[in-house]
Amino acid sequence: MSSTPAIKVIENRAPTIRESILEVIQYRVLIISMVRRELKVRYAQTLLGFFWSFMRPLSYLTIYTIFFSVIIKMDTGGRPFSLLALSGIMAWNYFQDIFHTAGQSLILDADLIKKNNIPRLILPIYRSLVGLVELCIALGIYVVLQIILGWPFTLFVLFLPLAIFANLFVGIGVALWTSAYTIRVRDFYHLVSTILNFGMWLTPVFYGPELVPDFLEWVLYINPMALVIALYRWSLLAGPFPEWPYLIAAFFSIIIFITGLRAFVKTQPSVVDYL
Amino acid sequence: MQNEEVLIVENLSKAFELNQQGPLLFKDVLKQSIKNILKPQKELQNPFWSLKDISFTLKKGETLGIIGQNGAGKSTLLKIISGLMSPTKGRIILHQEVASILEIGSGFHPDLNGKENIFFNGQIMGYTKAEIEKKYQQIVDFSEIEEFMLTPVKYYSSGMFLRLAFSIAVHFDRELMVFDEVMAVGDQRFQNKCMNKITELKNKNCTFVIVSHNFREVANLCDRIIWLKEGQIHMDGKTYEVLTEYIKQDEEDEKDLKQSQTENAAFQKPSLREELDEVLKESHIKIHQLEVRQESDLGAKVFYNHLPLQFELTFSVLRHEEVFDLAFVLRDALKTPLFGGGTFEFFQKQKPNKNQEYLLQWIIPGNLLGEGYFKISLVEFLDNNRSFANYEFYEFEMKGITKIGDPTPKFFTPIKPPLEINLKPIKK
Repeated sequence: MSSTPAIKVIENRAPTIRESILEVIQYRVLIISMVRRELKVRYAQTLLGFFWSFMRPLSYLTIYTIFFSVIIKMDTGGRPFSLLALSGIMAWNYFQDIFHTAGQSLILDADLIKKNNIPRLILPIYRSLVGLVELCIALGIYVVLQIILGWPFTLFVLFLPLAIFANLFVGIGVALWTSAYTIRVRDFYHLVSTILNFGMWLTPVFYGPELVPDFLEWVLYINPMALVIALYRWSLLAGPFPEWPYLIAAFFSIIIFITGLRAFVKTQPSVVDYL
Repeated sequence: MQNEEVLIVENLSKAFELNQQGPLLFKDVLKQSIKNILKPQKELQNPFWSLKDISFTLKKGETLGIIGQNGAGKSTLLKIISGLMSPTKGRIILHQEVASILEIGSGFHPDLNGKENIFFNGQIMGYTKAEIEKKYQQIVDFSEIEEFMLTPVKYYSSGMFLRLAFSIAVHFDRELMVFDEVMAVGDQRFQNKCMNKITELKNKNCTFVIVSHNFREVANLCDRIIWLKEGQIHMDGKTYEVLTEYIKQDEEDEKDLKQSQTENAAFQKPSLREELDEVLKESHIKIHQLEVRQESDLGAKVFYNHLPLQFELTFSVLRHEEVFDLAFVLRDALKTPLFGGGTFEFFQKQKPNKNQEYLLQWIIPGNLLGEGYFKISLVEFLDNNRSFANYEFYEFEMKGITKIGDPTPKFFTPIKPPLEINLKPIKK
């Protein structure tokens, strides 16, 4: 009887990962405009607006530099502490930002998905891209600082995008997990958040990995963020290339990402019921 | 073309977890969380079935109203049709993209201004910037709030929200539109504008699903109504039929509630007299008798609409210094007043006397009312017309005896006087 084919069938079935990814590609323009929207909103009703994105990394940097290089006088292996710390802080901050925003993406955008039919997967993605802007600003500050301090750049700097991508990848992996499970059990977010507080000190953010005693080195090798920061320092500070045991961390981050994606896609049909 | 199916709902059911609070003891929380994380349960522990096995088909150009009490599952159904929720069982087949407004402010970002929200919504619906640009002016013109386009929508009034949301929904050329209780907040003029727009789109063969508690809106717009009751389709049929049945049921429920609240009346149904006393107990008159008569008696408040219907009301005035006039008003099933009359000219000549019984008689001529349910209320005009009180006191059903004068029974109007209608071909 009907001549037009059915364009959509709504039933109780989770989309496959492939379908979800295709949807994301289809909605790529929306992702960009949502990133733009979020940036606008973040600084809406502030007088200084975008200026605050500079303030955050600058304030961290000042505090930590004073604390570690003036008060504690930490061994930095000859590298200027501010560069070492800033490269770590940038990466960690971006990771934290992804966790706090993308990790709660379904809850933060509850109003949006309760009333609009948009692919859920674009929520954690656009949220993690928002932090990229702040990361770039921090990178800008870093570059200026490195030039001022007269520390040379090497050709490895061309691999910076790889480090940024790794940073994003690890962040999204954790965020997918968190947002999928936080929907049912809201404690999950707080749990991971607490774990990350430890993680910040277990990861060489403010110090170089060479300060880690030998018997604890394995902690670095299973820590995806240690790998990410090592990549940043390799490309910016011409540090050593991450040693092969870091492959474990790489493997972990891939596992986290894939399982996180699977968990997220699976919860999709019931998301709105729990909001 | 006309019979093209747009929306097919097949055995749709939706269950929610009733007890979402979850356990409160720490060890139970822990156990539950671990269980949830390791193995998200497929079966709900405490299911509440919001929709139970719903099936219907909507054809192109149809306007479907969904009515029902709060909690009947109307909004859940619309949410599933809009793709926001997935059903627990069954499925929906869509042949058109859906545009929906569910609750006011749907999908607007409070911190963005009206213009940005229009673009944002358009993009969610899958349109490109250029396409939205083309529609933009139309949307703004229709909403009539151009001067607020650069204001963040969090400062909008609910009426402005509605204007923007409605304008967006109807201007993006979707052929299936779903509205949940949206027009209630608009002012009268904008409501009319919305209705006109919907009618215009209906004529262009667009399909609508509308949830509303405003019977007049439903009666004016919808061709068909589904009455949801406790998650099931209680009735599915032509607008007027379902609507009158619904209103009747609604009032019976209310009466039952009243009855169960007064202990004495628990077992026997009150007589007409007792009913009247109950209804009029706050009034300034006492009714001694009410007789409703027609030549041929069908009984049980059912009458023929081709015969005159005579009402005789014997009453006395309890507090005559305040009461000035008593009138009756005839209303249709949707409570629209049709006509009325009363003591006006009589009591103007002579003031009502407390010790006097009066007989008020009125006759509704035959061949005037259509078929269906009617209500009569008594209106007291008190205190020099500065206030009046309205008592619904009688309802009845009109039945047609022949269909001779009415070859188009699909045309429902509460009043159906014998019109003279002629059609002849004329030479050109």
